[in-house]
Amino acid sequence: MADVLFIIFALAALLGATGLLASRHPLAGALCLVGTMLGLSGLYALLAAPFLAVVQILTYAGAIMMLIIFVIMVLGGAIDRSLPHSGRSRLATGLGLAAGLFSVLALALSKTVIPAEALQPAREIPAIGLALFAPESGWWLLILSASLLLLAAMAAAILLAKRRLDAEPEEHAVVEEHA
Amino acid sequence: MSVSPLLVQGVAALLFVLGVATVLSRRNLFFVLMGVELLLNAANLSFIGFASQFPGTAGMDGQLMVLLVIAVAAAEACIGLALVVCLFRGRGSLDIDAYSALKE
Repeated sequence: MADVLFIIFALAALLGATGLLASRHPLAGALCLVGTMLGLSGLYALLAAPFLAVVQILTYAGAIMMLIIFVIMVLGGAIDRSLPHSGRSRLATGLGLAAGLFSVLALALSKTVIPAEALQPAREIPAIGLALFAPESGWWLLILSASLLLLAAMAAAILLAKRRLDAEPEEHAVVEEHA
Repeated sequence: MSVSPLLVQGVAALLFVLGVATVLSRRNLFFVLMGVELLLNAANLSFIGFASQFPGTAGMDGQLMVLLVIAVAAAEACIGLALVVCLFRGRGSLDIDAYSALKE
């Protein structure tokens, strides 16, 4: 049963990633990436990480992909008619480098000794919380740094999107012209 | 009830490679951003795949690291999309080859 589910979810993730690579319109690519996120969330649930499966759906498929799709829509579908799908030489470079990277990764994996322990039982949410905030483990630094990072990112995004805080909204004309 | 850990790592490696191919071969800014998201997700799958094999705190550490990666991905999407909006306002193009001012 777990094997069948694993194959289904892994296929969903891989097909979504392939669709992202091959799709023409950014919106189609974003929807393919949502499929990848959902498949990955199923994989996390299979791999003893039910909490991260939920976080994956909430944060990635819910928040991040929604943000990307929102900006694609705001920029008028964001498709340039003159923009080629991708340059031929660029495609060859990308696929060649990817194939080389995969051979390196496969070589590294074939030399890795993974302990043949049984799959661990699913880790419950209280255990994750206790591990995260245990004073002796130091993982609370992760929460601190993540919150600082998110705060800085939010401030930077506001500053970037609103060029001058005292600027009049004459920038709207520029955006609509291209939309 | 056992999924081969090597198979999980193989899927993660394939996802990573597809992400690299997307980042390198596409010219649209949005595809480059989404390729980076795919890279982060492949790393997450690798973390969780190894974490599911280790008992006790070692396995827990792998899952906690994924939380940090997700926070980094959220910050990256936030900054990246703000930059895309800025670039589009200034030049009206989403082609990454249009932004080569530093080359000249």
